[in-house]
Amino acid sequence: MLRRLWTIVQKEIIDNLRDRRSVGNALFAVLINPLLYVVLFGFLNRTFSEQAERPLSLPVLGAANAPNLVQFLDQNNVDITEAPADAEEAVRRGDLAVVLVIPDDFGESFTRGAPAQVRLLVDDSNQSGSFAASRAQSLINQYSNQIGSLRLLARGISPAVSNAVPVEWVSTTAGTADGVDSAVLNLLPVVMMTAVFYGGFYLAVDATAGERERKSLEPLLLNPVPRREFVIGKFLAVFAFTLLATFLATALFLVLLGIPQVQQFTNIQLNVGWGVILAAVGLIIPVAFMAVALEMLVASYARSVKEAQTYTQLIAFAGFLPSLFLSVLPIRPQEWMYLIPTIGQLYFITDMSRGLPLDTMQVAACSLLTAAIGAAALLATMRLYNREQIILGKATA
Amino acid sequence: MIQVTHLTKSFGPVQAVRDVSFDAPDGLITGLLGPNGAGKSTTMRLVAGALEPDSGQTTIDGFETHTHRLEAQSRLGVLTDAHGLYQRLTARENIRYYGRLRGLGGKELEARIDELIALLDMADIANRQTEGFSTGEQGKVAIARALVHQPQNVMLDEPTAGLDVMSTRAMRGVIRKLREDGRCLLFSSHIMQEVAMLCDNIVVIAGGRVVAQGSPDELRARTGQENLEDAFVAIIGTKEGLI
Repeated sequence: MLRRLWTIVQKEIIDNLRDRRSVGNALFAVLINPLLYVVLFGFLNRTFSEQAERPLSLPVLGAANAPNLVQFLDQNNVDITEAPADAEEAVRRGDLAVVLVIPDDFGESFTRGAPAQVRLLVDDSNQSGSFAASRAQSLINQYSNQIGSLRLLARGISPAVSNAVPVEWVSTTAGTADGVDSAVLNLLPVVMMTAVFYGGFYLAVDATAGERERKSLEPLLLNPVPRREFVIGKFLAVFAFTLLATFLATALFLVLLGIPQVQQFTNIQLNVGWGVILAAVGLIIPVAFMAVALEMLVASYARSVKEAQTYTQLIAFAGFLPSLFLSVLPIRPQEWMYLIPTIGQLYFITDMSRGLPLDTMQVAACSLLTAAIGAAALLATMRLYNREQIILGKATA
Repeated sequence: MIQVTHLTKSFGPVQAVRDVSFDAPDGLITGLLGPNGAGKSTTMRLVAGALEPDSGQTTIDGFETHTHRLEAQSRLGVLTDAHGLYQRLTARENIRYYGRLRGLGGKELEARIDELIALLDMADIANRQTEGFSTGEQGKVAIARALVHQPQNVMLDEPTAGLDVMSTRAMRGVIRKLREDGRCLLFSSHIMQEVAMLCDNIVVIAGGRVVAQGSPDELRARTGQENLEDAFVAIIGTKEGLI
């Protein structure tokens, strides 16, 4: 039986590999995703970080009153410009985002050691202005603290005295990656789910509905072979191809992110080892099993290749949609959500790739449930193959 | 030896086969003759185990097709009306696949394939992918595939349909050779001349029923016609659907 099974698997693989165009299309559809995501995410990230690094343009009224402060700002990536006389009007109109006003008595108060007040003109209703304003404010605060510390030191007092309650900012983002860098890992399940559901979908249709439409199914089933062996053989061939596509997509995505030139472009520093790649593929194997089995079932049930394509496409879409949703809406999972096939794996993969520990029981339960659905679909397909409708296809019987 | 007893099959409201019984003994060519749509193909698909009968039995060398499908099918080689080759496999690979499915392998299988390639005179196409083969070339591959395991019983559904003169003659030669080897041959046709020329035993089917069966001499005697073709027309009552 095993030799015969291998004969069937071998034939399906050779037959399909020779269909270069279809194999090429399937691989292209799966491998374009990681490329696309890396480029898109990279662009987004780059734009954000560039905005933060770009010099802040700050119009100043009365720059001559505080040359030290202006120099400090200039050293801290701020472009000082001369503000127009009607500065307040200009901010209100929205021509300027923020204006710094240094009053004429600034120098006198500063030298006296009294609070030398400056004013930031901001339109609070203007969202885009507030980012620039808070950057300016925090720079001026820095300057103020520096001067304050120096004054205390000059009077023989430790500046630490004035810092009564220091606050430390502790990032809880797990693993080595920091926030932005690991956000790209939210896309990993999307890449993998797409590969799992779309990688073998064409082959599943071709091996079932396609074989019937080309009229080679009837002579095939006249061979003295239990029909379940044909189902298993075809399944194994499609499953193998799906796993290959999934592995390639996962590896491509993570390897791409690790290439120095790519990191330079995307501004994401993330290095994921082969261990993580293999573990991610391992976690998704039950989903691949279920996806291929379901696709084979509906494609065998369908009356024509066209119908089969419609059905399997629906399954594939429904299968990978949750991953897309959860990558943009990071909902924290409830306990029961870990049990749902595809959604469970989605969280397992995201957590694992960030170096978080997994709950072995949860992984086992979800994997088993997923595989059980696949096994049920496979058994149902075998039942279909034992009915004469599988040969007739059309609703003549 | 193929035996069919009280076979009945309906597709929804259409009764395709109604109480058909006949025997196809070893060493003889049995022809199923009937107009298109008479139930020839359905009968053969029931014998081969592709379809389930509503009632009745079909046995191959004593094995009932539906209760002992694998034993029955291992003693049978079938040429279906649609040849159904794998277009991306070569002719040889198509034949080899069926050989392996039937438990053959290694040198024995390759020798058998070479033998069939020689018998059917298809050396020039043996290693080409079958996509784009003419109907005659497809027919050769399909018959080689059906005979690869040297079955005692051979069933051919319209084996000469769509073939040119040379291919038709070659096909008839193969059928005669199988009879010389003592095999049981059952073939269907709507070509009266072909049936008259080849068959030792004729089953005439019309409207899903067997309307007559016997040797050519018996059929001529029964209808009182000199010519076998006239005898067919007399039995079926019309020439429609026959050639």
